[in-house]
Amino acid sequence: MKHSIEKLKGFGIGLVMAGIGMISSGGTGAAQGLCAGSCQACYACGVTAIPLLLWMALKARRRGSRLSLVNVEPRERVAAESLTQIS
Amino acid sequence: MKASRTMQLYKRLLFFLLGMILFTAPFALVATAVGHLLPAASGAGSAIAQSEPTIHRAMCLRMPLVWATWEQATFVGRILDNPLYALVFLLIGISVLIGPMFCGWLCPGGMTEHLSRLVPARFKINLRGRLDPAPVRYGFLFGFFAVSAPFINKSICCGYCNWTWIEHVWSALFFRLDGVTGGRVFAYSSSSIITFLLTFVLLGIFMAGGRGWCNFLCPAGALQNLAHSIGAKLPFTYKLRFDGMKCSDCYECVNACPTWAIAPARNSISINRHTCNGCQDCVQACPPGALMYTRGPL
Repeated sequence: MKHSIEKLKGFGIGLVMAGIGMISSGGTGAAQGLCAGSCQACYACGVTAIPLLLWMALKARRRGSRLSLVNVEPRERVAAESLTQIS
Repeated sequence: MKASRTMQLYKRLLFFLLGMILFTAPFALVATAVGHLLPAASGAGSAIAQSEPTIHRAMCLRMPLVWATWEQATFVGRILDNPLYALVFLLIGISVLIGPMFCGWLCPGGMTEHLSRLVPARFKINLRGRLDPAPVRYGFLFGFFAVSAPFINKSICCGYCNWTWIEHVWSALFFRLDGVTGGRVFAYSSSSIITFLLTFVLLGIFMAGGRGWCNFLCPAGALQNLAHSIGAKLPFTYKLRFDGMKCSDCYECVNACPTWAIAPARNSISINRHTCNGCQDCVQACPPGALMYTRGPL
């Protein structure tokens, strides 16, 4: 159940990222986003999207550095999980 | 073991350079060759002759997916006009048989993986083992097909084309700073700046493995991996195979995988076919040779 929720959450993150792309993809003219399309580099969409991306990056950075396998040796982690299962 | 890993690194670097020469400007040998073979006078190949031979113009690997979904009426005509647009479908077909080898060996997007080796690990975002990239990738793919195309008339792939930026950087190395990759309008648009931040910074060189873009956003890669996940179930296809009897639980493969496709499991490992890109770094990293990329049952 928890695994399915995690997957659903991931799917939602992907959709949100596509949404961010949709908001700010007017920049090339070819893409024709929500703005006029032929970008005159007003940066309005960037002003919307860049802080959101930076926030996501910082959140990921904090989460990653705290929990990543760089800090927790996989062998130890698996061993600990195995012990928990046995007990 | 260290020597074999170094050899693997050089081998992949050579293939990556070959991919850059074959697919991206200023060389783009594939598009140029097909453009010459199919003269514009006959109708076929005129699109290649008229547009610049670049990976995001003459041989785009993303827009044909959108056309196939939303513009079937003109889709066949486009393919006949420029057969290179069928390349992405060929790659998806090949992925069923041998896995997404294009992603791991030839894709110009691999530039970020190779550049990320120069960044110390402590500066990188490492979500390996903590976030499964596959659902995020398929969520973005769903948004790419189902949401963006009807809402914004086209798709978000041109606004967020990482290959364009890579072509910019690559072309600059050969002093091609003119309109070869779309000109200055693209270069200074905010979406291209976001793309640069995403491709090179956030999901590129500062992401563990350097394959954040491939892991989370690439629609062509997602479809190739979807094909691979189905193909891997067949006994005659090539795929990453694991021999549990040989495994020494060192988990070198987990850290070697640039796409976070291998996760430790109890007395074993789990291989995620939805993110494996067939690079075989794990095969070279495995000291007892428990991993192999061969044909056979799982």
